[in-house]
Amino acid sequence: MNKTLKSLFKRKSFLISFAILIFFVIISATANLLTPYTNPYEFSQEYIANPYSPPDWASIFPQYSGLPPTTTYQFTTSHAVVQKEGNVSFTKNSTYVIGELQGKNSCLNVSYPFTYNSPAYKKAPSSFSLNFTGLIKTSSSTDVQVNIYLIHGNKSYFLESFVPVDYSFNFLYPTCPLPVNSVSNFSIESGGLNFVNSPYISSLSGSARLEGGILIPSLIFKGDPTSYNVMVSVKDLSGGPVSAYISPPKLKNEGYLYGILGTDFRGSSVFSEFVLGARFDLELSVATSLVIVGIGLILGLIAGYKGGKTDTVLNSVTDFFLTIPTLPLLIVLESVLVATNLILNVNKAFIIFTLIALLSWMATMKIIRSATFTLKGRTFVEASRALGGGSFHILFKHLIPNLLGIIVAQIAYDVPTVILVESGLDFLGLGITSFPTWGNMLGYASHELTASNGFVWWWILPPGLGIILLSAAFYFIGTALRDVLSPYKTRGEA
Amino acid sequence: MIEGKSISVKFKVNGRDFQALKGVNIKVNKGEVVGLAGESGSGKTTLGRAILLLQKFQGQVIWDGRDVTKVKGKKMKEFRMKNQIVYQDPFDAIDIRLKIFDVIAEGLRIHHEGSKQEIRDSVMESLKLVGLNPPEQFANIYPTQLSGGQLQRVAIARTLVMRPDFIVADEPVSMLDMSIRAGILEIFNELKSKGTSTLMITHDLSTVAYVSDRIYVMYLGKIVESGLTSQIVENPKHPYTQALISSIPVPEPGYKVEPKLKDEDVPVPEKGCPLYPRCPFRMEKCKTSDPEMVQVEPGHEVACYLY
Repeated sequence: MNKTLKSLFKRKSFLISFAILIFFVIISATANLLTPYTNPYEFSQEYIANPYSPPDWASIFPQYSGLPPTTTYQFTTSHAVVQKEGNVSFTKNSTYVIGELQGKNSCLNVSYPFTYNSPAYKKAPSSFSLNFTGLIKTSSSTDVQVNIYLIHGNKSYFLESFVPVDYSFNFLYPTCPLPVNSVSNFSIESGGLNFVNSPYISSLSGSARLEGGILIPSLIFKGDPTSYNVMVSVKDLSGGPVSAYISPPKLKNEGYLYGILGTDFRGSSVFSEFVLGARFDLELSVATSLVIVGIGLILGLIAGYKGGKTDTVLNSVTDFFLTIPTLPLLIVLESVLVATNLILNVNKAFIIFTLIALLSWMATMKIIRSATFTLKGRTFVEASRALGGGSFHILFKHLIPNLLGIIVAQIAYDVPTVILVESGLDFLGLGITSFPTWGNMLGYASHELTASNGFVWWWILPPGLGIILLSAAFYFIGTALRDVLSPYKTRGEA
Repeated sequence: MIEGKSISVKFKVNGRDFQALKGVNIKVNKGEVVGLAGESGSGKTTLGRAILLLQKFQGQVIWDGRDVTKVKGKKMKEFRMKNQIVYQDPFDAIDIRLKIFDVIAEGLRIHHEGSKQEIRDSVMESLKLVGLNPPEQFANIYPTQLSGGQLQRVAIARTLVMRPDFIVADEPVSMLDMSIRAGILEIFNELKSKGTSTLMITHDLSTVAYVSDRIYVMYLGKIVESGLTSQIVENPKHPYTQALISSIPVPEPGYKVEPKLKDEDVPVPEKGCPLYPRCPFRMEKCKTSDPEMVQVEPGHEVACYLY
């Protein structure tokens, strides 16, 4: 075995391919650590920066220099500065600042200081988002008001005011009514503030009011890095006992540069799409190619070893499958199965896996069959028969071990085939669309490219190069393994 | 002890039938080395394979008085165990992926003969028997590390480890250098003294004369002459045998081999004596009918109208 490994690692093409494969395996295996997103195509994971934002490091190129980066301000309850008015007591734990309010007009203000240092904001107006969770426990007859302010020096911007009643309100997407005493999740999204819900914006003049949602950063953050406070204020209006659980807010300045690979048309992280796509493509293609080689090996061995009528029948069946144009049939089957809901509750990835496996085993079968034919004719197979070895003995002791190189190579060769077919389906929008794969990344890119300002290379190149590199790597690894594991090949025979 | 009765083999070549063996009778007695000589394409190897049931044929194979032509299962296994074959090309006859030990132990493992230790002992013993010393050293290397002569010894050891009663040796020395042929042939001589019978297939009469007790001469799928080695070598009757013997080169400067047969590349005649187109003594009779084997002296038979 050592000798095999040594001769493998002597090949440069194998070394490079192996390194590429290891790279993709590592990023797939650590995908959950590399990216906080589980499915960037989900609504809640979109818009983490402005759409079509180039990567952070692209600012070294002149046309992207000076774009504001995406910055997130993370607070913990230990940063909280708490002010109180009236009969109020408070405690802090790791997730909430918990206040107990008693008496009319008693008030709890929880503020978090931060330094806003995005000097480039003037070049491109950037938006920001603010999220926090508040849990108000009180009787239904008590009126409570939650206000959110941004404070800069003496000036305070009254951003929003909530009255937690027996429903949760999210101005973009009203959710179902919640009973009193449950968690209400308030969030201020970029573009979500308007003069109806923001006292600050309603205080602005007419034109600024309309642009308020977008222009808030440039209206509030006046340029030079200075310190601000974001403040959540809970006010007891009617005097009943109130328990308020206030989480630290998440404040994000959505810039025009984002992360390692920028963002796509949704404003989702291309890097996380790439990593998750790599994981999916690797898993699907390796699993499918194992099944393909499994089918091809069994049929090829039977046809090659038995010969005669069995071979004629199996070979004809294979020829029949070979005449089927695979991709059009895949497209039709996939569309029919999915569109008619013929198969309910079945993962789309599983349908694709099955269809590709059932339509791609022919080449493998032919190769295994012909290799079996050649091997079967060799004297050592007859010698084994002359020693008394049965078919099983010959198959498992002589044929399969000698075919090992071809089998392993076929597994490696089929991986690129599957990647390409699957990516093709996804590209056409017939495959998986609900979570990222390399194919549908390219598909979305081809649809949405026109809306972008220029060539969105950070979105197109990663999946494109990924497909090419992974396919080429598997091809070279397959070739190297075939050469090393086939004893007769290395001796220049068969 | 093993006997083939009127064995015929047909091959399909490009859709046409080719009669490789035409009702051949052959018999090998216990402890006897029998030579089977003839030119390439005469059906020697096919006969060897047919008699070991490795080839589909018409006719009968009798082994120890039993008809084994259509045996299956346990009896077939017994037959396989006791009747072995050594191939012409040792490079092709050995799976080079296996270590020498596993190559030789294969048969014992197939038949579950003995424990691990017993198999090990048998393998070492047979390696010693074929002259691969020290056996421990040879057992642990791969076939690619051996020379042709050593490999042929391994191939022979693989058959000897089964303690066979009968071995078909299909040109066991033709692929080997002259200098190591004698060593291999000596192994068969030794086997003879232990009571193992051998069918030695060869196209080289001088080789077969070295070890065999009796010789069959084949021409185009037919036995044309059979007899004791001394009878065949010293007193060949059939024109083909005479030609075969006179063509053995003698290491002597200036020695010329006179071709006895007309060297014509003619198609196989459909009827009559197969040698007819090339025979120097051909008669009108030979053209139409095929001569039967006739006895010319005790143990010496020949198929020719001259006798």
